[in-house]
Amino acid sequence: MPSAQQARIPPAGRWKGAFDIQQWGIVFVLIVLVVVISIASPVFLSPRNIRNVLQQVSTLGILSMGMTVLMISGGIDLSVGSSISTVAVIAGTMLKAGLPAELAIVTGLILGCAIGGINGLLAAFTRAHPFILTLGTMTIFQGVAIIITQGFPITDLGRRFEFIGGAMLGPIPFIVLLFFLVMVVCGLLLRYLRIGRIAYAIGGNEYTTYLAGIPVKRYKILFYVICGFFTGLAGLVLASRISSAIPNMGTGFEMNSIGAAVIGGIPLTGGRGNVGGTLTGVLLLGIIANGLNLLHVDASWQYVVTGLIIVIAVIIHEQRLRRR
Amino acid sequence: MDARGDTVLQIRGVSKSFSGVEVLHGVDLDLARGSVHALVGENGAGKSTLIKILSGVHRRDGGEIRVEGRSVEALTPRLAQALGIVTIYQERNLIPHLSVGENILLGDVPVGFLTVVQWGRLFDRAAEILANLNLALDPRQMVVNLAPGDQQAVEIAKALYKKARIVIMDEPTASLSGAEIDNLFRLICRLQGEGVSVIYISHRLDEVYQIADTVSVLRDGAKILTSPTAGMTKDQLVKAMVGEELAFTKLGSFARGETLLNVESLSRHGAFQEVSFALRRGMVIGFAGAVGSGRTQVLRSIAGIEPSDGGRVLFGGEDVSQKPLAELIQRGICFVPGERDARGLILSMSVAGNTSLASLDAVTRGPLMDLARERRIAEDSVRSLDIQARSVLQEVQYLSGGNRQKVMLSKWLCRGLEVFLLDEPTQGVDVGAREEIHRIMKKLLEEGKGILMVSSDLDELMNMSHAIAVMNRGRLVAFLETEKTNRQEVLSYAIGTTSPNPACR
Repeated sequence: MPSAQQARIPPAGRWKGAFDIQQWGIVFVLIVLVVVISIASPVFLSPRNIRNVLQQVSTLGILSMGMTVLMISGGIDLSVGSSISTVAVIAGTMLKAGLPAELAIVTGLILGCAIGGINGLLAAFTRAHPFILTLGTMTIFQGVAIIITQGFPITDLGRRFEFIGGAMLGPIPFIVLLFFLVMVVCGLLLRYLRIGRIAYAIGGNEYTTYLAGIPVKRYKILFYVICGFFTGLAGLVLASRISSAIPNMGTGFEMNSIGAAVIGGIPLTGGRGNVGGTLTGVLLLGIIANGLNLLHVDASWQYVVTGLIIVIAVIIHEQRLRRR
Repeated sequence: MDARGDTVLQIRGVSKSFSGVEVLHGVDLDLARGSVHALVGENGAGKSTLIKILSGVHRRDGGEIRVEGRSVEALTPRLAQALGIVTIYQERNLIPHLSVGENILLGDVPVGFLTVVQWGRLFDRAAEILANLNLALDPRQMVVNLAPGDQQAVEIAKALYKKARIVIMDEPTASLSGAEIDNLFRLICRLQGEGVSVIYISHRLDEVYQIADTVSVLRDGAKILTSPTAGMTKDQLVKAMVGEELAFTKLGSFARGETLLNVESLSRHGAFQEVSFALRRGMVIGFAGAVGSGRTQVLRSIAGIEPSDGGRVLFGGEDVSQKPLAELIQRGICFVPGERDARGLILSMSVAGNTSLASLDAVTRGPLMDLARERRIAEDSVRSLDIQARSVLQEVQYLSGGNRQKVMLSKWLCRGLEVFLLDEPTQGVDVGAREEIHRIMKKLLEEGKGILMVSSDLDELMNMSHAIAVMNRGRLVAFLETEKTNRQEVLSYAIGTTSPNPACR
């Protein structure tokens, strides 16, 4: 019996590498997509368009890396979209009041952490599912963003603040570097830090982790705070890029970031996945949007295709887990 | 005894195998009309399998079942219901957020024009049934708000409404209080009066004497005897349940080491009361008792999972009864749960990750993981416990049950703990792995550790403990030296030894 059973076991385990993308099925989908679009539209692989795509996915990418850490630990946060709006409009209000950009940025990051902390406290100390809890806080923060701005966009946030979104380091936009930096930080955290190990453990089996003497609740809150920090960063990046803070500018980001993580292979129960998978998911979503745009396809179709990709991805992952 | 006469249910030579292992060997049973027939036996004797065959959950491999003299071929849950066989399981089968009346009349709710429910008629009919059973229950009340005893009464009312001829009750008193048990027995007498026959399964022999007129003993999948209850003494019954005393290779007597853990009148409301014992170095205390007797709760309490609300636990000269789990691990006490896959392991994680989980301090430098060191520790434990894995990076979900069990233990072995609280350490593992786990336990004893072990397996308790603590309904009813006791004595304490007290007849 052991030989027959062990024959099906893949040679490598899960700690092989942070960027060892196990989700080859999805990578394959990504490659096919790139090939098809580049044949249909020669502009697609031009350096200018590649830079464009990367710039467009950076905000979602930064956000999705925080979501990756959180979802691996078994958590989920639906409020990230409206948190982006809240952080942006508060930073925007500060800038309009003439406060320095540095102070607005630091405040935005702290605010992101605080919002994550609130979600974390709720998730850790109630028995309600975080999906529903953060559905509630999502609505609250959306309201807060509208109250602060009375529904009007805040525009023209000043050159100093716009630097984040507009700066170039040689041919590469600063925010693209920021996205890759965030990815590397989250990847290293998950693989090489104690806290990363605990994220996988809590997502894998919360009760077992508790029995091992690990303060599960404290760590759960921490993972929400980490996700909140990157949400704040994403909010600042987005506001800086368009030089405005709009009270509903984050709408839809929650579903796209969760979608990217799920496409990348993180189950809703947690315990698995890595930043490489999420990167694949983020690129896939960005390339679909860009590709359909280049092919002059009506933007409404973007929803249909994105949805299809998520459904296909989940089926692929489910099959892969069952086959083993 | 059986003045009402004829046989409702005849079982002849019924057998059943699961994956090639025969668990019922040609069982015969006759159930008389209006009789309460108790079915007793140890865990794994085949009682549940037999019930599940009667209620149509499992299909029998051979033998004959006759209901009212008519042979029944393929018994399905639907057919069983049509024949008037109703099973009341331990876990309630009611719909919690519907009313008592709706639950009783479920599937037969009176409806009028456009299938609008006729609530008045529904509650009137339910009230009639409840009154017939002398039950003071409001048919409009939601089931979820009822006490366990009342919920059971509703199930019985439902059975009666469905014109049940045979009611099977599986450990009906497990979650009931004393007064509720009396009520249940009154209802059973009532059923008897209506000519309904009852198959009554219980671990508690005193109840069997109170309520049953006939008793059958199952052991290892075979029926040992059937007799009028009055014709059997409790000792005879217990002897029939345990069978021949086997020659055991008992755990050798231990050098009396210093006291490691002193438990004094430990209590937790609703779980166990006034439990006291002392664990010495190099000693195993086995906990025996029926499921729900409070054995596991005692261990969980000592481990700091469900804190006690009375008494003390002295460890290292200090009362640790109110310390949290994490601190107790630091001090050297760990709890290894039963239900290995659900509670004891992170299946999606590697062998190494599971092994180091409880000793992350040893494999980290500050916030950083020392992956090389983690790997070395895991490889050492894989070698010393003989864990069959492709590598320590393999996810534990791909290991066999016994190897998983060892990985679960390795998590605790790789840090120097003193007291091991093991809940069903060999449940669901094969014979070889079981030996291996017992070998690990013996090695721990040689190192002067102490073990508290809950087990539902009498053989394991007799083999692998120096003393056996027997729990019954939350109380420690006996503390027996294993060398001076036998299975029969342990079992008779575990199932209660109060004197017979017939309730009806």
